[in-house]
Amino acid sequence: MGFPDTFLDNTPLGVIHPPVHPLSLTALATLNIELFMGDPSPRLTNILCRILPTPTLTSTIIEYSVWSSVEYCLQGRWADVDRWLARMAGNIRVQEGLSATLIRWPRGESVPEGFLREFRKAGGKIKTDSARQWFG
Amino acid sequence: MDSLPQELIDKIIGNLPRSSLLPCSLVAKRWRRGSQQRAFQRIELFYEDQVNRWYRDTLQDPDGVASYFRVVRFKDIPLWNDLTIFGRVLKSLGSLMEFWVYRTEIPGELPGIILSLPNLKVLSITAVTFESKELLSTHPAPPQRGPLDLLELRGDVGGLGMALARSQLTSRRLTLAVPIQGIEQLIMHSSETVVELKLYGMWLCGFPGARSGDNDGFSRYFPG
Repeated sequence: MGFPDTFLDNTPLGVIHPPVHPLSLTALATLNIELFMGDPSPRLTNILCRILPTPTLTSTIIEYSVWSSVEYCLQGRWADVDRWLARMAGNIRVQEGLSATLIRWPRGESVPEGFLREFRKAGGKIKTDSARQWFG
Repeated sequence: MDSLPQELIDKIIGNLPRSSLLPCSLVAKRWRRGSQQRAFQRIELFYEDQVNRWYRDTLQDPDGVASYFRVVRFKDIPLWNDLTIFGRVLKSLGSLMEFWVYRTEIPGELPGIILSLPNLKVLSITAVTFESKELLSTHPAPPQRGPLDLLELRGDVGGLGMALARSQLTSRRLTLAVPIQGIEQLIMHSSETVVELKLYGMWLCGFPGARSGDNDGFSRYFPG
């Protein structure tokens, strides 16, 4: 049985409750998303949407090559990722909460307030890691 | 030399550099087994001739050197003259714990062979080609098989993702390229075991995350 790759009615990801064919990952502690360029694909956000809130999840790591275009990232599917992260952060039972680490973040730059806004509102913490860069 | 206790010999062997292990295995009979065990713990196979040589010289005796192999890596054999050697080699590695394949042609029987390796803990397959996608076998995982420590599928692995999903193989860590067929089922089967999930959101150029100065990504994904 295969899951559909697209939403049936084009409804924004965060509005769909409950997710179709939910994935209940009862022991999940770390989720790592790696993107080279471009938005998160529809299939990626579709899979994320299906992962039910997991009380054990403490860490998400987002590795991306072009954070320099973060203004662009404030919209579109990043907003879907934000809503999913917010949903996860709101259901964490561990004391330290849920953190999202942005890998390859440009050195010396702060994260715009609007980026992952819903996640932060839900208590999620954002960290950056500039140690590894694609160029220089 | 004869008066040295075996424990001390093993301790010495355990601290030798890898380049000294094969000469050391010729010192005396009591030095041979420990030296060979360490020397043949990991092998990397890059050419079909090399695979044939290994098979001819060591792998046909399952209780000999072949039983020492724990980590085997196949890399850059995109087309075999005789693909059956791949399956024969794998079947002779009953002690295998880690199996890595990178840009190599795989036989249709691979899923079935993988599932029959009782000690396998790490399975990593990246950008493979097939003799025929239709021939990929599907086998249920044996009931006694526990979860893998790592299941990693990246790049174009054709129907292999779906074949492994149908086998209901489970893992504690999953690293999956999102375009892989069967990815949802692979995640679902590991729903009670997976502690770490890594998703590659998209896929370019046949391999993920290639960087400047790292032309094929190999060193990154085959660490050590």
